[in-house]
Amino acid sequence: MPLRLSNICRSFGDKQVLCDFSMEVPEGERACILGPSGGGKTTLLNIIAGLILPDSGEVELPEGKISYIFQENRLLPWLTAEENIVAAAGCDKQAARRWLEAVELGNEAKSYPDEFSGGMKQRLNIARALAFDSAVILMDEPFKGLDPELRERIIMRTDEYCRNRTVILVTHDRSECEMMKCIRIYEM
Amino acid sequence: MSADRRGKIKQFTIKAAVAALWLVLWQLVCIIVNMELLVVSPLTMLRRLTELAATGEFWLCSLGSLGRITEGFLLGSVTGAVLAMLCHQFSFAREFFSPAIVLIKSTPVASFIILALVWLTGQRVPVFISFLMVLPVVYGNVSQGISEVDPKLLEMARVYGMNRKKRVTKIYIPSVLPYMMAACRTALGLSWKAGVAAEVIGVTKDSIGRKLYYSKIYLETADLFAWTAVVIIMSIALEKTFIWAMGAIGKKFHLVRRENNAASVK
Repeated sequence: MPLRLSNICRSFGDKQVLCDFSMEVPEGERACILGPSGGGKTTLLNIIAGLILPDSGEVELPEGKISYIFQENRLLPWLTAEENIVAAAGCDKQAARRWLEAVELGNEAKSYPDEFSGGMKQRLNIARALAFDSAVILMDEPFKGLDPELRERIIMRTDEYCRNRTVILVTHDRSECEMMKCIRIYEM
Repeated sequence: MSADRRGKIKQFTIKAAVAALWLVLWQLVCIIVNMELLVVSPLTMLRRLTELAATGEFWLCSLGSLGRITEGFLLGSVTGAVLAMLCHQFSFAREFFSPAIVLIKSTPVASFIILALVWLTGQRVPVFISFLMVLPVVYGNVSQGISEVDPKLLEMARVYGMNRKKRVTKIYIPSVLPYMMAACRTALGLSWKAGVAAEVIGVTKDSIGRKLYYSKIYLETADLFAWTAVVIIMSIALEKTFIWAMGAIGKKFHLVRRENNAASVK
């Protein structure tokens, strides 16, 4: 079943953020949403995740769970990197370590998020979303704050681990869309 | 010597110097007043405390008061926390219990003690009074803690399908724990003050309060000072033990950071 949004509208007070927005992403395919800040990209992802309801329009989702790489990392500060993944993704510690290694945080399994730089927190955020056995991955500026070389490697691995999952990528950077092999591009 | 150790030694030295300064001031006041009926010297108090500590009755009274006040404190803490959770979950519970909490907070403790003397047996009065003092403090802090849980973390839990048990243990309890610990610190002092006051008014058998009452009747100022020192020492010891126990439980169940615990405990 494809991910389908039909005529979505959403306002916050007097400000209309989304107006009659529609998109369709077949199962296992990738879409990229480009646009300036305040254009409603995060609101759209929150609607898909079920965190907010649209004022009007319909949302149809593929079978299965959703994982979300939030723009603000939303990590649990009292848990280590490894425990953060276990708590959210429901996997065991060994699997959590493998996911940490995938984002080059293998040596930081026992470290706490407040010991991490912004980029490291973001990689943990990515690892948590990848570790969660989901059919759809929502990504809100997932590679922001990563230095260029590392960013390239993380994008390549994210691309690899997202195989067969439906991906909705929100970004300012068109090159990220290309590297993540997004077939559909929506401009907002 | 590491910077950390040097810092600790410096901190200890400052604390010791401040304590010594207060002792000197106390001694000066004692010399100026020059009447042991009004103020006894630190040395007299210490001598009397040593004499008292050598008797079995001292330990019976001290442990009796400690047991009653700890019981009241624990009952008040658990009830306050459970009530706060209930009120967060059910608005009817919040509406129902709010007036009772306001009433407890604004009623003078002496009124409660006198009422409790009518309702309960002497031994239970300090327990009840400690309970009443702790309940609104813990309730208020835990309620605040629950209402300030980061909604973004709750959204994350929702997206990742964390069940209720996980949300409680991984988000709510760690978020509320610093508020609970702050409440317990305040409430412990209150429960000692009010509990001992209840023992004094109720002349509870085998209690520090009864000893304080007799010190007043027989104008034994040295005894009054010595028993007051016992209350202060036990109150501090109980607070330290409780905070240590909460921290240890928090660490064991991954509710607070394992190292640098202070960073996550307000």
